[in-house]
Amino acid sequence: MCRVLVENQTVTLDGKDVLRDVNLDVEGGITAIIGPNGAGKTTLLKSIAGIVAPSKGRVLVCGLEAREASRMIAYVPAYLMVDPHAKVEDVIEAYLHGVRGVDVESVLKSSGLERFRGRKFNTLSGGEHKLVLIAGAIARNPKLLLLDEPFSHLDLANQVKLAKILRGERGEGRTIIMTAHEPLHASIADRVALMNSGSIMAYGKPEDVVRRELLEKVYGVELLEITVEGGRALIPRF
Amino acid sequence: MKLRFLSALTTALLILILLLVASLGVGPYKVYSPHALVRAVFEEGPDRAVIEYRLWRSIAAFILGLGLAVSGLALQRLINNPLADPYILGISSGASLGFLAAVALGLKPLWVWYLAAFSGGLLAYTVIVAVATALGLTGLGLIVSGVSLTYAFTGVSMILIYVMGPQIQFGFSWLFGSVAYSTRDVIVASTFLTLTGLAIIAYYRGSLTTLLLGEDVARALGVKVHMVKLIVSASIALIVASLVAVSGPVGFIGLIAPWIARLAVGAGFTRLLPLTAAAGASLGLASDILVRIAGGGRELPLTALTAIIGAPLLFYLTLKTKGVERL
Repeated sequence: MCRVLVENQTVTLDGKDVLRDVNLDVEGGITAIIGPNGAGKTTLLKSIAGIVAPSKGRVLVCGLEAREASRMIAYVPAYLMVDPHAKVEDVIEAYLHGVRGVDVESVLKSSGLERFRGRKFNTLSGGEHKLVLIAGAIARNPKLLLLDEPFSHLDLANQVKLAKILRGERGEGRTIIMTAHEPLHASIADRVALMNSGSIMAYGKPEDVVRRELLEKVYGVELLEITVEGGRALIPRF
Repeated sequence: MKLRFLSALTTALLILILLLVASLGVGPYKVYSPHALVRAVFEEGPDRAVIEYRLWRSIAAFILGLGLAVSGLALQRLINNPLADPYILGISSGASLGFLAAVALGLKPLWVWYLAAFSGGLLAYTVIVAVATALGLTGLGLIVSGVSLTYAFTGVSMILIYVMGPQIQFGFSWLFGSVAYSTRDVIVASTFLTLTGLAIIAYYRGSLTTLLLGEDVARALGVKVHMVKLIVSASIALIVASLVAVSGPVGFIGLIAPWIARLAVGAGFTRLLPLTAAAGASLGLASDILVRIAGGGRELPLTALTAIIGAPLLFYLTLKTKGVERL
């Protein structure tokens, strides 16, 4: 399994430290990075993907420097606007560049996205975008799958579908790291990193990190804890 | 998808062959039937001289269309804007200014003209990218900046032509655009340089395919984005500079040809490249045939003709791609 090691990493963008001395050690399973807007979740994900270079510290992916590990990585951004003429097949094809033995048709079939064949990518809904991009990323057969806000814009049915896909990929031995706005989505993860102001405030099992007092402190809001059918959920008091 | 691509490419190549034949057969001096055309090629006489002149002119129009189209396509992918074109973004006018400056200063030999045009094109490209990066422009704002740059460079070019003295006539006819007056050594050199630029762009087709997903994803998937952008940008400037030497600053083919190709096969770069090249070469030939016959014996300016066709398309595409929203 691919190990991701982030050591004392600081990332400075436009003179501001977006990440400060971040340490993270992940191997296999699903890791969710949660935290409020501007906490540094996407920057951390991008630094693991080799998109953003650290000003201090280092990131090792499967034993290699992040920038050298692109063959092991597939990255899905939170939002993507492509050429208005681009079809779903074009987007998947772009993900498949350099990958042998996989064609667009087989990806559409295996991911159950045949209904999108011939559709212009930009005319799909935000949730449908996500499903296409994730299908393209998984088709690269990466050891490390990096997903920025994969659950945003997905309706409930597609959220359940995506959770099933991610659990399946975890079963294949991939290491999956995703960001999430909604702490509820951390429940599908094996580990959770809670970020605030460019630092990791807590890291561990979901039940140890997604706790009322911790989230209230980080988000600065009052939360309600609801226990239903043996599970529990935290919702803001509006 | 593959079948659609193959049928689109076959159609494009058939149209291209027809236009090549028409380009040899049609002109204000005489119109040859295909049969008369074949006879003229194999028989000594004035007709053969006409065909030979038209052949060189056709090569110039062919390479002009092909080069502008491919450079437009590559530019659109590099800056993620389907409205981009070397003319609209000021690269052609920058190259033109460099070329004119070399001519006005009486610099020789030929390669110095090309170097000056290449430097001017690259300068314009660097300015537009720097402005876009500094101001965060991607959509229509980038296009407006390019058009402003075009105006500025063209203004300086006009002053340069005005003070050129005995070469003023050459300067103005060159600014209006035409492939009629290119010398054979210019056509040969420009063809070689354009095909070199095209080969470099084709070599990076894989990276340009992945850049459809934007720079971040492409970088994560292993594309050396900075290096690809640098090399492909230089190739675009090389192609535009070499074509400016052939025809003057002709525009819009780099916008129209990729648009036609996209309508046919979507946005996959490996499919777009040959189709855009064929569509561009056809547009180059068709435009040159039109300027020969539409003026009733007098040649029309090529730049004006392509602008008349291209400007409404730019307007249409701006509305369709909602460029205003992407300022």
